[in-house]
Amino acid sequence: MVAGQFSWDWPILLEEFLFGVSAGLFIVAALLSLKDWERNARVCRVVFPLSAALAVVGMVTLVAELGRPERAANAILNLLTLGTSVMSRTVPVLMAFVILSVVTTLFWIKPTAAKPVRRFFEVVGLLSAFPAGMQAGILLMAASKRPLWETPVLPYLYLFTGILSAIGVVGLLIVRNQKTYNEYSSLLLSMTTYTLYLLPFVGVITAAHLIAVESPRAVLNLLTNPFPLAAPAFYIGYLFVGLGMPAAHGYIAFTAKQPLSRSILTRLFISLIIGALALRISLLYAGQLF
Amino acid sequence: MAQEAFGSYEQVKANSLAMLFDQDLCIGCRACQVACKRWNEREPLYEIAEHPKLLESRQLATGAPGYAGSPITSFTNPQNLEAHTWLTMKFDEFGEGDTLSWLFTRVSCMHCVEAPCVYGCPTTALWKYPEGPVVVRTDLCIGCRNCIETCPFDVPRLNEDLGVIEKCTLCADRIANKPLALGDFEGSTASPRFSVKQIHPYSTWNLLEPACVETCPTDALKWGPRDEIVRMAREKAQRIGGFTYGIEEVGGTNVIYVLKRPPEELGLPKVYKERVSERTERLVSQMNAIGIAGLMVGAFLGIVKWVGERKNQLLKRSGG
Repeated sequence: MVAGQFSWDWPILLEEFLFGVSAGLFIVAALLSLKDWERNARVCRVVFPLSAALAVVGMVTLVAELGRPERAANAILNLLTLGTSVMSRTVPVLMAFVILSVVTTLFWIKPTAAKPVRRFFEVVGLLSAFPAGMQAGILLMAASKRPLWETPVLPYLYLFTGILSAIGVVGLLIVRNQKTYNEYSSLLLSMTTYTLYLLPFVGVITAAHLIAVESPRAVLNLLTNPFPLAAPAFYIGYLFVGLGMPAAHGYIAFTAKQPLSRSILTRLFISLIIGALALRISLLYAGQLF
Repeated sequence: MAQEAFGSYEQVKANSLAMLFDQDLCIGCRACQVACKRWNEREPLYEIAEHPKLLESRQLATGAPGYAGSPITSFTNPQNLEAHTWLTMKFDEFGEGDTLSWLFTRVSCMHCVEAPCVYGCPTTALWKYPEGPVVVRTDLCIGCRNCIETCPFDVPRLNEDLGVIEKCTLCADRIANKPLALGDFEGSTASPRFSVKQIHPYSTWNLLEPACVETCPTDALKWGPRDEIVRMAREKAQRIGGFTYGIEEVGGTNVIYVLKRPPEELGLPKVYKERVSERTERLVSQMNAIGIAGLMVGAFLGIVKWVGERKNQLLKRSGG
């Protein structure tokens, strides 16, 4: 297999990352709202709009990087005619998610009004957030020239790293000042606990993905290509900073049975975000470099 | 849904026309390149050799900078396909004993029977015609470059000035005996099926062959019904102890090579043999199965947790 052209560059990377974080944020916010919306209202009021904003920016990035952005609406033409293109199948999901995240945000301007309707949009939005979080992975999975991307596990890897990065963003929002840190200490504790559960799970998915890749040379390329956006991003950015460091910090928090200090938590949450970004960098570039 | 999308894969495979590239007869004159440029009114490559993009593509193509410090790494010219170059002949040198032998390999679109680029194009800008050509309808292209990422032969190129993809059309405008237009299929849109009409055997009915075939002075390029071309390719490969390329790749293509060396040695990509629809839909099915299994495991764990909590609550209430 030849390396061929390098056609998807940083705008695609940005779009993948933004939609991953946005979908993750919506999932976290919707779950918090469904659990106890009054207690979590302060978090939801920030996280829902942030999710919507990132989704809108992601969509704008996606459209702007096209060769002919003014024809973007054509992207679902195949769905209406042949129904074969994976890209045209995922575009409506992304559009639905963007709309639902914006509508849900509007309801959170006054959350007490029309509560059942808001709940409805939160649930439907939650259902759309999962495929939206997987969308980039699905698209890469269907790129039949790139063996490194061609596994059914990749979309889930993108989904769960997106959720982890969203936990990182929500965590950073909470620990940014002492008052919210104190108010949401139990939430921080459960977030670090869930992070600790998710990290080994994501590690297993990562291993499953690499094992499922048909071409050992493609995996070898990811693991040995010295190009800074391939192997170094995978080892340092994803495995060490993205998985290793939060696992160590989370384990300390878990065994201590109390939230860690703000500075340690800040590092933990930042490393989760870096990990999700580094995974996308390494896979996008290593996939095209082979 | 997808299996029949391009008007019965088997029908196209059996009835379409195909091109044969016989490496044994090719003399590397590049007349095909010139004919392609002329018929399709493609601009010549004006950029000077030191252009960074050319150097980059050269390095990608050859994996090394030039000999003895020279930027020239090969007699292949142009070094690779680009938006205005839909066909190039790759020059390879092989040392055998004291002699040096040249081998020339066609680098262009293979016009897959079930083309991954068509299958992946979100706008139907890429379209497979039942006669064989895979054509870009540039007025529909959005420049998403999904075709570049799906084409296992690395053929489509982005025309950066126009923002659309361009590639070889197999001279669809020459070989067609009828206007090529969308809508020439029957059945529902969910399961479209082409009505294959006016497919004529290689005869006087087909007045025009692709420009490269017509101009080839050594008959290294041939044009005819696909099943006939496949038979010729197999027979020739067996006779010269060579190799075929395109009969099985991606489930079959409408351009078939007879090669004197293994395809990998000539820089041709090693490509999967199954149809792209089978490959992609298998992955999608597996992804769905993983999701359903994950949901079931999650639901089971949730029920176990709920039962445990409920049990604790009841024990607390009963003072246990």
